[in-house]
Amino acid sequence: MTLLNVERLSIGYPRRVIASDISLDVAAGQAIAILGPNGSGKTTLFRTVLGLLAPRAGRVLLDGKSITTLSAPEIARQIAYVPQNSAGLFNFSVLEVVEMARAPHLSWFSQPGAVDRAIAAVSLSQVGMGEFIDREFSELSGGERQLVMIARALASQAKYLLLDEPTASLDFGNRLLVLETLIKLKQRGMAVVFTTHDPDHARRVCSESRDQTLTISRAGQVSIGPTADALQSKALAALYGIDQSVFSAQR
Amino acid sequence: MANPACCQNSATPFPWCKTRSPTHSVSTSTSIPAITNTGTARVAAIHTLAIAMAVGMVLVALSVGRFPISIGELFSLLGAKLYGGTTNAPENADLVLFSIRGPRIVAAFAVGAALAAAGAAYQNLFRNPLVSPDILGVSSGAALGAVLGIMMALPIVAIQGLAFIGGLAAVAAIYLIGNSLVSKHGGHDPVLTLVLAGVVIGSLLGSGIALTKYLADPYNQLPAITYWLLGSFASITKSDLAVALPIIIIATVPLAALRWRINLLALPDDEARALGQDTSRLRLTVIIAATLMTAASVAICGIVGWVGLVVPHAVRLLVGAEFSRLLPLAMLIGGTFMLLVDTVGRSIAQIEVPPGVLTAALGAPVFIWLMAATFRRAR
Repeated sequence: MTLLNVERLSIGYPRRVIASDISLDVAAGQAIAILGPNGSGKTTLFRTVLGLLAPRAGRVLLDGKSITTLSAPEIARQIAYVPQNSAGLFNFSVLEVVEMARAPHLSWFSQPGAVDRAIAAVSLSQVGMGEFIDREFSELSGGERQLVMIARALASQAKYLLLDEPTASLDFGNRLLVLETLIKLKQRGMAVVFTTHDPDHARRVCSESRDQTLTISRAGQVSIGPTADALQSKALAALYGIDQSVFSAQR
Repeated sequence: MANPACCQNSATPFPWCKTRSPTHSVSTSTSIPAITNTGTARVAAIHTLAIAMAVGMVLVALSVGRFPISIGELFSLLGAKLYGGTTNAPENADLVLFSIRGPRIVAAFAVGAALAAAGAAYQNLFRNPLVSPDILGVSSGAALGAVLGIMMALPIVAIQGLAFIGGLAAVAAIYLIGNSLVSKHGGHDPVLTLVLAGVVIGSLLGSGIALTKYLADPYNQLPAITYWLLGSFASITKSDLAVALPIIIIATVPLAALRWRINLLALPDDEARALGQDTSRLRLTVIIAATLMTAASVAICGIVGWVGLVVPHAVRLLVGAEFSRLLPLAMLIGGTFMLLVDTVGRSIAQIEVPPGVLTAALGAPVFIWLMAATFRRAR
């Protein structure tokens, strides 16, 4: 059984620890939502798990090995990252963008070949973007770009998918499309970890008993549990520092 | 689990795709979309055209000038050189062709290709299509070195050497400052830090150049300094080429070998690193290669602006941003463009028009046209 274990991890920068004592086990076919106010360290947690930022304390284990002992390509072959709003600055085609995920599988001086191209094409059709393969990435809508970025993560053939606010700045339809895609990927056996500002998105994707929701408060307090518990109005009120009566007024 | 295997088993398209765009529904039988090759034929046609233009431009440049050589004489001279025998060409045509015009043409083409290659790599690296090869101060450093050499009345070889070293030193200083700032205070964008360090050091070097000009002898040194700062291919010799050309070729090798991987630098740093790319090592490699080729160019012909900015930008609009497609075409068109500018510059008027002036005069309108083209595409 392959696992991604986060053990008593402290995240942050040399002079500022943002959150500490984060423990988390991620298994195949599991979805984990991460909620927390702006600046609570959700992206920092991702950067630390990806090995881009050194842990302040604790460790991240990938199949039992600390990621600090693994090379960057070794990590990239296991954990894929979908960043928030990737802007298309240059005119790369959709295929070229997805092919970039083959980088950790290729040596420094080689080019993606027919196999890599096929993997990229398959990944695109897995998220329903097969028809867009020859389009220019910068010409796509926000929702289409997000799906292409998810396809790129798939093309790296990683088992763990980290998505940073995959539904941010998308319209209603595209949000549902991205959430449905995440559910499908989970059902296909990938581990899906994503941050969101919307508790409903966490409820939607992390609805099964094995799924979990992690919350990080502004003060760096971390708790993890079944989604329904983590997203009770009392817990949410504490997390975002608002009065619980706001929720009862809403319902 | 491997994705291709897993999706062959579960190839059913997602139902919501159909509701989303009925005309674009994914075929149910296969999950691999066809990759059409419409772009490849176009790129091949553009390559053929570019090669034809380059060859044509070289022939024109060989024949045009104060001492005109007809195309027929040209071929007979080339034949005589290669296979021996006599020619019907006028006396001294041989000397003009092989000792004066030939090296100059090779230099102009090589410098244009080098500046375009460096510009293309830098535009990717700095994730900005408006960046030129001298953003990290290579030109300012080289200019200060050359200007100091002129002030000290050193021989030409020493001035060229100082220019080359000055260019390398400026880039090294900027890289080290930027890098130490980022490594001391983590979490900042290394590329932006480099640009800012470049702005600061570049302006410092600029004031050094200004001071030297102010102190220079206005009758001898100042014209020489101005001449150098505008760039010129007029005094290129075979021995200049013998040093600069190998440096340019050697520096092109890493850019060509890493042509696919350089694409990753166009991504935000975190994104590229999350794809397993050691960005700082790749960035340093690209910076060293681009700096070597630019410094070698600037050392033999002075500062010629615009080529490294406009040519890669235009080529990207033609064939897209993918660096393995961008690099060869940018070098070909950059060389041709520089040769055109130099040929026009030496034949249009009684005096030679410095290429730096002509590239600006041509580059500015071309650039505005490119901006308009970009805006049209964006709509």
